[in-house]
Amino acid sequence: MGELLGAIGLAWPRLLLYPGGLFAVVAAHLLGAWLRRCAGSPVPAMALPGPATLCHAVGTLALLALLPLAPARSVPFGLDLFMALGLLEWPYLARRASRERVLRAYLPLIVATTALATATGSVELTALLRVPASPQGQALLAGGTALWLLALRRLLTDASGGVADDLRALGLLLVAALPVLGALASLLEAILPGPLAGWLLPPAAMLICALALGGMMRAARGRAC
Amino acid sequence: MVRPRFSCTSAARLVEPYAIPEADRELRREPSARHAGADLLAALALGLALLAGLALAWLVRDAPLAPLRARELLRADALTALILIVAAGHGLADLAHGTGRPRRTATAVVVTGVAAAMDHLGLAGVMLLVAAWLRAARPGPARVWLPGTLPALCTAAGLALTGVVSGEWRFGAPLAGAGLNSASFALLLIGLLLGLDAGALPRRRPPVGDPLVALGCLYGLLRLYSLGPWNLGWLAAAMLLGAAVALWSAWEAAAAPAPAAGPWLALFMGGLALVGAGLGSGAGLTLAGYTLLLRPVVQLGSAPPAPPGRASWLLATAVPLSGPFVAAWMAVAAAVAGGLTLLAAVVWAAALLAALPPLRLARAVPAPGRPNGDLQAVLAAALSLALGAGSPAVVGLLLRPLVAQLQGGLTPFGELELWPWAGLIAYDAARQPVATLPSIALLALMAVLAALCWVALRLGALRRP
Repeated sequence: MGELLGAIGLAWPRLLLYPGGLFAVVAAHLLGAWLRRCAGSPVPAMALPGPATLCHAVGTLALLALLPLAPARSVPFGLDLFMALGLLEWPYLARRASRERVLRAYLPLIVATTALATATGSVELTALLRVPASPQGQALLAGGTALWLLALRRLLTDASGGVADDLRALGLLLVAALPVLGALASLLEAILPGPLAGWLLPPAAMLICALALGGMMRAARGRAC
Repeated sequence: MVRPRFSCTSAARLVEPYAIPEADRELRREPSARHAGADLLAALALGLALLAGLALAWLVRDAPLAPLRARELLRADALTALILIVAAGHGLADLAHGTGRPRRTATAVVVTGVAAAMDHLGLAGVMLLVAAWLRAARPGPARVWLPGTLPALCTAAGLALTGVVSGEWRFGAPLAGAGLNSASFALLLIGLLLGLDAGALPRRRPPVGDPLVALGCLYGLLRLYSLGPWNLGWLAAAMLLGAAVALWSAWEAAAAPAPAAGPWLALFMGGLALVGAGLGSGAGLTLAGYTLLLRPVVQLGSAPPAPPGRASWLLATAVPLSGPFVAAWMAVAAAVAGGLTLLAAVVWAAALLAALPPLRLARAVPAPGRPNGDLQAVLAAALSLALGAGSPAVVGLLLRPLVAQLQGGLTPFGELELWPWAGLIAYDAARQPVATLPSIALLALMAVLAALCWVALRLGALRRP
């Protein structure tokens, strides 16, 4: 019990500042604006979130606070991909009326997760930060990450643009950013010292994923036109 | 005790093709003083059976009580306790819905519990047969009630064949494992599939399998682990059939009208339990046990015609920390721990599909003048949340002793263990963590976050003119 309370007590910067809390709200707003711009979606009117929105957002905020991102202090309670998707997607699954729509939206995500789990031998989020030793494992990890981002392009089109939607988009994007972060850390291990890498690489990985996702959305919009 | 069931014109029209089986409809009783007395007695007996199961689970948490008196015919272990608890749960759910005959249901539950406590394979089979007959027997020719007893007949034959082959009828005896043979296994597997009414899948009609009979059949299959390890072919057959049943039934559940999807969801849970048995690991057995515990809750909350209501959120496999969600997580974790990522993907897809009917019910607006949900749905939701958020306690008290006592027949490919003051954690054969469910820690964090959000809302309200 003391361990649990101690861990939660020490997790307050994660809950309030980074990667949850203030950082999450600002980054989600910026990401939402960027993705809407790329997809050509209308800008939603500013409104204070209601209780229902916040109820949906609590799970997303908890996931964001527990993401294994440096330089935040590590927490002993890691999540896995199944739990992460559950926390992010449960309010949205109910909106898809038919099984065909559910499978069209989530099957690519499940295939991507299968590739990631095969590459790392685990569905834990922290395992995504480890680059497998074998080339096949690396290829699977890269393929799984690319497929995850591709799946997000379709998945995020149902968002209406509120705070909860933006936080969900950030959560899904940050899951994809974990393997990118692991790959960057592995590539730049000799050049960047540990503490500096902890500060520079997570934003770089997020930026790469956000640009890639935005690019895909822009390309899809171009094809549609 | 028996109250009028929720009825809604549109819901009734929707569920008409999925209507309650004729036999069950006959057994729905009109309220009367005599029936109320019978209901009360049956509820008392079932409540006592549930308490006895819980007490037994506490008594056998370290080692089985074996052999007991009565000429060494009885042997109670964690599997016995689990079966007794689940059987009592099914009986109480039946009673809450007003289906079945209360006295017969209570007797069948007790007989199933005694069968699970039998150290004699032949007698256990006979008791399961008696329980099935009690559930299936109806006035009329044999063709009316014989199909209902066929699953138990297969199970009894499978258990008896094991005893005949080894010449040792007590499963706790050292030489009993010599009786394991493919014919017995096939009979037990067929019995379980018949008990779950998996034949409804190709027929595309809602399954009408009796949950108590299916429980007895699953007991027969799980009891094989007391005799020794299964061979790879058996594991593969059980796993593949379980995954196929889970995916197919979830597919049908997603297409069925939401108020009528309950039987498909129960079959989905049965498929998950079979997957757990087929994984043959500690994690797999934990999954099977947990799914068994959840089936009465699903039966209680989604028996057709299930009314729309917000309580249904907590019966969906997609809503974090609900019982069905934890069952799906266990299935994915056990599959990944066994190195079977493709199986994990299949189970994941099935879980997403199985989530649709409860989610639709939760979002549906009840007809004017109709209640939003009913007492059974609310109770089922509360039980689902208790089983989901309290999954570490369930695993620690009920399922860890089960795995420990059947360890001799299990493979080392996956363990599901307690994560002290956090939740559950799954390990692979190399003892590396592969999946984590920090349910307790997550609940605590979400409570803190919810409090912060509430404060933010209040501050926002104060700033508004």
